Parts: sequence; C-alpha cells; structure tokens
Amino acid sequence: MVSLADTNHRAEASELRQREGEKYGGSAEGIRQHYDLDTKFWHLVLGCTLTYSCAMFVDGEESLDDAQQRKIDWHIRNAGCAAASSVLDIGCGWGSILRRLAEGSAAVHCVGLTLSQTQFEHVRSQNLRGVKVRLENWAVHEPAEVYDSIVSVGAFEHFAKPEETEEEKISVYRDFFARCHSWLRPSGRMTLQTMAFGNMKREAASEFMNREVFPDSDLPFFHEIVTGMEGRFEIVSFRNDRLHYARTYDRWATNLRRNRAQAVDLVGEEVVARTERYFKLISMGFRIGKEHLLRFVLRPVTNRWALTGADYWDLDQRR
Amino acid sequence: MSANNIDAASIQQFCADYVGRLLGTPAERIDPNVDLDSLGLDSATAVALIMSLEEWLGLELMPELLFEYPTIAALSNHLATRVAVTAQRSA
Repeated sequence: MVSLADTNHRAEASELRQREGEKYGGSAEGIRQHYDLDTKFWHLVLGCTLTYSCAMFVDGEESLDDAQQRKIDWHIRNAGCAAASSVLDIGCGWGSILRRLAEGSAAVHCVGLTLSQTQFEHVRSQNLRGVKVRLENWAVHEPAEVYDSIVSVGAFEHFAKPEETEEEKISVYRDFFARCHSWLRPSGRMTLQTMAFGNMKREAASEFMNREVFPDSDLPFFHEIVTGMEGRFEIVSFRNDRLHYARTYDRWATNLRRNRAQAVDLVGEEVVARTERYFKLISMGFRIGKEHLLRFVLRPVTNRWALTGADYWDLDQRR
Repeated sequence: MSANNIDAASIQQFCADYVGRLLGTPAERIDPNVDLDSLGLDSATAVALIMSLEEWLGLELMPELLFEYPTIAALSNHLATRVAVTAQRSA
C-alpha cells in the first residue's frame, strides 16, 4: 500500500539525500566533534554504564547507574528482545544495550550502528558475544536478515539539520521509519527514545547548542515524529520523561564537578567549561518543558491481520 | 570575602546586584521576596546566576534550586545555611 503522499516524501527524501550526501540522516562530522572526546572523559561524566542518554529513575535518591540500567532494561523488555533472535541498535553509543543483551541468556544476534569512530572501536574491542558493530549511517544500512527487535536511543536527535525545512525534516523521518519498517519482522517491536522540542520554537533553539554542542543536528517536534511514522508504525505507548532527563544532566554535572581536575587533563579547560554550561542550561530546559524526552514503544503496521489482532500484553508482563 | 563571613545578607546583596545589572535596575529596587521569573529574569539568565553563585560560594548548585527557592530571599537563606555547614565540616 503506497499512497501518493508516500511517493512525494520518497522523492523529497532522495532529493535531500543527493544534496546532503554523506551527511544525510546524521552527520558523521557533527557526531565525531561531540562524541569522539576521550572515552575516559565520558567515563568520568557518565558513570560506569557509559550511557549518554536519559536514565529512568524511581526516585530522587536512586543512583545514576541503577537508573541507567533500568532504562536499558526498559528498552530491552519493550522491544521484545527476550524472545528475539536478532536485534538492531541504531545509535548504539558505547554499547550499553548491546552489552546487556550479550550478557543475557538468549542466544541473540545483535547489530549496532554508530557514526562515532571512538564508540565503534570501544564496542568492537569488547568482543561481545553475538554482537557486530558497524561504523555506519542508518541511511545506508543493509541488513543481512530481518530483525525481531529494533531499539534506538538518543540517535534520532541527529537525523535532521537546522537548515532543513520542516517538510524536509519530516521526509528524513519518514525515510527512517520506512526503512525500520522494512527491516523489522511484522510481529517485531521497536523502541525509540529521543529529545524533542517542547514549549519552544525551532528558531529559538540556542545557537550555543547548535554550534558548540551538537553541530549539524536539529531536534524533532512530537508532531514531526508522529507524522514520520504514519502508516508504518502504531504507537503502543509513549512517555514524556523530561524531568528524568533534567535529573540525569544534574548527575552528570555532579560527576564532572567531582572529577574536574582529571577531566581538564583529558580534554582541556575550555571543553570542560563549555560542557558545564551546556549541562546546566539543558537541565533547566528540560525542567521547564522547553525540551521533552520521549520514549515510544512501536509495533509495525501490517496487513497481516492475524498479527495485528494478536495480543501483546505478554510483552509488558515480562519483567 | 572569605566563606566564613558570607551570610544570607551578603548572598542576597550579590543576587540583587547581579539581577539589577542584568535588568538595568538599581539593586536596591529589586524586591528579594518576588519570584525571579516575575522580576523578568529568563531561564538562561537564571542559570547564569546559579553558575556565578556556584563559583563564588564554592558549592555545587543545580538549576532545581530555583524551583525550591524561587525568590532571592529564600535562595539566599538556603545558601547561607549550606555555606555554614560546609565551613563547619572543613573547620
């Protein structure tokens, strides 16, 4: 079933792809500028899970590492990874989800994609059981087989660029969801976690963020994500955990402060000062709702009625 | 000024000076009992205030303080207590 709107979006996406070349769907250059700082630095800041995305806290007393583990397990559970034989992790970072899967009991085959050279080497050097990591953009990924589960945490933020029009942004998202849909078994599940613009206009996005922190990246709005997945994915559930992200950033700020001298030795005073400012500003942004943190559980839309009608309660019960 | 003689009044003065400078208003005209956001301070500037207090007092301060203690008076009283506790610990 291909609608006319779908065909138009596809034409727009391919035009954009031609114009942006390798930067389409996520600029490797932009990613490397941020994530390719010394891994030891990120270790000091992010803690032992080395997870650079919003944690999931039960309360204000919980440790960052426990809350990160809960987030990782939330994705693993909701993407149905326990019953999966193959999992794709789009934007795998330093591999915290892949590692958890590799250490689990299921004989699962996992593929992780990242655009960061340092992250790629870090994951590869761990020789995780059943895990293949690729230095690759999702826009050029060609899977060897269909996946049972897809997870994507903190990557979607990098798919669009500030200079793209809203229509162009949406066509990138549509392209992304169309690909995920084609890579996923019709009975499979996908989880997506991303920051989004909340109560703020796109043009008000701080220049400081765009230039200094995440070059070549632009956040989505909720409606753009939903439009992007229309006809491809059904939203099983979603949550806005923006206060969890404010707290996560506060914990990172604390870690950085406690290890400041060591951090300065690793990356220099300027980067440390910039990071401190960024953590504080963004924590405030999440707290007051300028930014949101969205977590989606998705199931692919399919015309296989026997699958659409099958219940999925057991996925949520599997704790 | 060393940490030992920093009290609520001097913190309040620091904040009033800071906010006054930003808003182009004399510090004495800044009401310490009015919410910072209704004084006209935007969120980014409020974060900047927190960061300069952090540097001056040598304490670790998070933006969430501004929600627990939304006025200059409340913030200053809270910070003065923390400064005193820290001074006691290191004494």
